[in-house]
Amino acid sequence: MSWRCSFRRRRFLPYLEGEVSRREAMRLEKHLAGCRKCGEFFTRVRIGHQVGRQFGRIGPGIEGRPPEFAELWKGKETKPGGPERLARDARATLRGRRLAPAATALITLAAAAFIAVAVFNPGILRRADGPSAVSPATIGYAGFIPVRIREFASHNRSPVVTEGFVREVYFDEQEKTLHIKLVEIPQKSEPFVICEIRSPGSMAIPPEGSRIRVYGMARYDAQPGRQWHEVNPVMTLAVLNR
Amino acid sequence: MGLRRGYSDGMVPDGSLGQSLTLKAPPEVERGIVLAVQRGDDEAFRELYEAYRDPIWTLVVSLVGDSLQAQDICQNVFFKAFRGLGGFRFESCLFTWIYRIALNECRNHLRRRHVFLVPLEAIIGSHDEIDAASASDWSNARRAALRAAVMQLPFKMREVVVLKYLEDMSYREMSRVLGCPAGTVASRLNRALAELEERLRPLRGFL
Repeated sequence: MSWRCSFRRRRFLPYLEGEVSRREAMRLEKHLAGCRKCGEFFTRVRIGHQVGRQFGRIGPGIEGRPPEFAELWKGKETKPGGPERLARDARATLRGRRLAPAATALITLAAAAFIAVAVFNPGILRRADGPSAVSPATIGYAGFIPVRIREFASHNRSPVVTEGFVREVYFDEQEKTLHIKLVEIPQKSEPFVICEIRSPGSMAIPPEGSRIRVYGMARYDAQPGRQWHEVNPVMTLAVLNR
Repeated sequence: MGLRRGYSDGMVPDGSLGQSLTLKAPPEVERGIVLAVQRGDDEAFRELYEAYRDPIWTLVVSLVGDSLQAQDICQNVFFKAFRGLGGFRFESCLFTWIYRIALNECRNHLRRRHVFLVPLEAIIGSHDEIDAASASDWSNARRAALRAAVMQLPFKMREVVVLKYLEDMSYREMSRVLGCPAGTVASRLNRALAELEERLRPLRGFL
């Protein structure tokens, strides 16, 4: 199953329930007509959905009732301090307790460090909600390990920088994330990594075939039907040529 | 969470047919209830319990399949909720928080217990038995087969089926309760439905 199929399949149920736009419905139907495996899987999901709806109508069919309020504390040695104790603890938490001197010193030190960073390197505090918000210069290029796409298996959960050619671009409408399939060799579909950009915003999407450099966190998506290497999240990317 | 459907063969927890609203209070109402409980208002906790009791019961009994065990689990759920409310910081909505406790309690319970699976054919009967059965027998057997198919799903699949079809939750609500992305919920639900189809396929002609 291709990575595109994986995303299409997530929309099967919304499609069955009439919760997709007409445009998306047409795209999905076109995909189902052309992809045998997705077509077969869709049929199974459709039947399963009918079963689920029937189950929703008939329920678990198990007689019984939940405990009454007075029965809640039955079998427990003591009520858990009672609500009075609960309230006392909550009030102490809400007001803030007096801290031990060591804790106070630690917090003061952390606050001083934060202020120092804010004054001397404000770029670090900029909200990293998109790939262009943080530049390699801010992060420090030395922090990213240069990795070839075929070598991703040895760098799980590391900050990496990699280069490749844009093979496909896909926007996940449900999660509002942009996915770029990056390949090492433009004529071949493997090896590849999927680069996930969580807040693309108004970012210019690199065209298919362009060579890009991507900075981000290497991960492996082990979910059934996926099982591929990723750069997720992408912190920034640069188009090397068009 | 929307209207919970009444069950067509009766036996909702209060013993009557029909529907009841699950609590979907505005945030300020939830906040008021939680703060009142934190101040030691026993009646506020009773009100909270009465509001959440039925949906949590539905969830728990659907996941564990046994009413006596479900009663114990429900007791634990609200016991933990009562204890935990002192530190509740409104980072999620109350119902999501209580639901998570309930799901964890169910998971822990089922991990400790060995589940014996009854083959669907034993429930639905042989072909001869089906031919001889009356319409009402057949209807009961059909329902039993559907229920058994759901109960035999692996726990993670059963979770999403129950949350979707009994609790009528959206992907977003399920992702908050389960603590995973909506895409993961969608994939898991697809696999669960495909699994249901496969389990009931041999009996398709009779369902």
